[in-house]
Amino acid sequence: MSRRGKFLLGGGVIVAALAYMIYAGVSQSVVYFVTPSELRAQPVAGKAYRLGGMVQPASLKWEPRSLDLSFTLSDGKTSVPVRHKGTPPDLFAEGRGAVVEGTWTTEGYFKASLIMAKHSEEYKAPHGDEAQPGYKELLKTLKGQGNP
Amino acid sequence: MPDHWGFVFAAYGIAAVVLFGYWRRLIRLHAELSALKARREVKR
Amino acid sequence: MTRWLGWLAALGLLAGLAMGFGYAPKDAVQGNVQRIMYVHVPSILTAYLAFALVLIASLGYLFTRRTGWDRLAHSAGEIGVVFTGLTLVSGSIWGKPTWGTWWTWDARLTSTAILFLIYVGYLLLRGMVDDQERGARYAAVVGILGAVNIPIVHFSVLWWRTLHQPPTILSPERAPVSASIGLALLVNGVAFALLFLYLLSKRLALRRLEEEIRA
Repeated sequence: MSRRGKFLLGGGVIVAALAYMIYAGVSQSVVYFVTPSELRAQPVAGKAYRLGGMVQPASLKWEPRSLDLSFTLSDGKTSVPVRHKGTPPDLFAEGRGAVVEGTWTTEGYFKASLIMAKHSEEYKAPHGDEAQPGYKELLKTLKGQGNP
Repeated sequence: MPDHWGFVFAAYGIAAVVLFGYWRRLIRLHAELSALKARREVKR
Repeated sequence: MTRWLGWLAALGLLAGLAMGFGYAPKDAVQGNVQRIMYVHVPSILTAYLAFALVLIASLGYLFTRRTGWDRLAHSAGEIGVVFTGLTLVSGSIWGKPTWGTWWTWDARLTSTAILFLIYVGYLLLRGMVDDQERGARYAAVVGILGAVNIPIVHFSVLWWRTLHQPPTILSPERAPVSASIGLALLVNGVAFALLFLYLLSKRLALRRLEEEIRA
């Protein structure tokens, strides 16, 4: 293949990828997820959704043996019960944001195939605003106070 | 909470390899082209 | 001059590592995996800087038709692609343990992938056109149009619903970040900027050599 041909092929692949991404971007990314209110307004059973909201406090149930996970996603107004089979990511917890991929079922719950934890733009030291917690922890250990 | 040091080292490792590799490539190409230029000037 | 920049950048990167791993504490929520941020955020900021330079140099080239502007645009564009690639890879490695996925098609990730492809295409375009002057002209147009995507990438997290969190740096509201983490981020940002300037001066010299040989 000639040099020019290779470049044309490479360019073609890139243009096609760009076109697809912009198309997919406009139709999908702009409404990356629906809220519980939006889902409740017109739920279609069997349709694939991405649902985003807050994991409602005291709604999380996790069975490590069977990997059965259930919780409620809320947007403050409406909430949707979600069920999933698998281990949730580390940042997934009650009172935090999450986005789940899956389908709405006729039984009245959302069957999630993927759980994603939403992170905030907050970055904080574990113990207040300490610059050198390592040093503090070391001192505590030396004093024999055990784990901080 | 789990620390995921493996992920941290993977990210830093890849960054180091990419940046170092790109730098070496610039140096290598520069040396090759300098040699080519010198050879051409000798021919003239 | 270039040599000094190189040493400064190396020193800065070492200081950045010391700050990122020694000085800054681990994040309260994420733990140590948050330290990937010190590569990820400076990488995309450097890429923004590089592509902003491509925009300025492309405008400069279209108005003056001086090769120097094209040389600057070409060099900055190539380095910008390297740093955008690093952003995507480091972000993906961070996303797996924290979000629970390597990749998702939200507006931030999609627009960043598009940014990467636009400038890969920009570099390919230069190889596609045999006539140097014409190639430079076409590239300048792509370099100007491509820059439209920079604010889209940055503000996507504010304009649309995304999985990605809002910006920490260059944000309309001050993000709640611990002083020590912010300082570590700043040192790494400066180090990456120095590295960018060093690589840019190396790339410019290489491009000058290419021009001399072609002439």
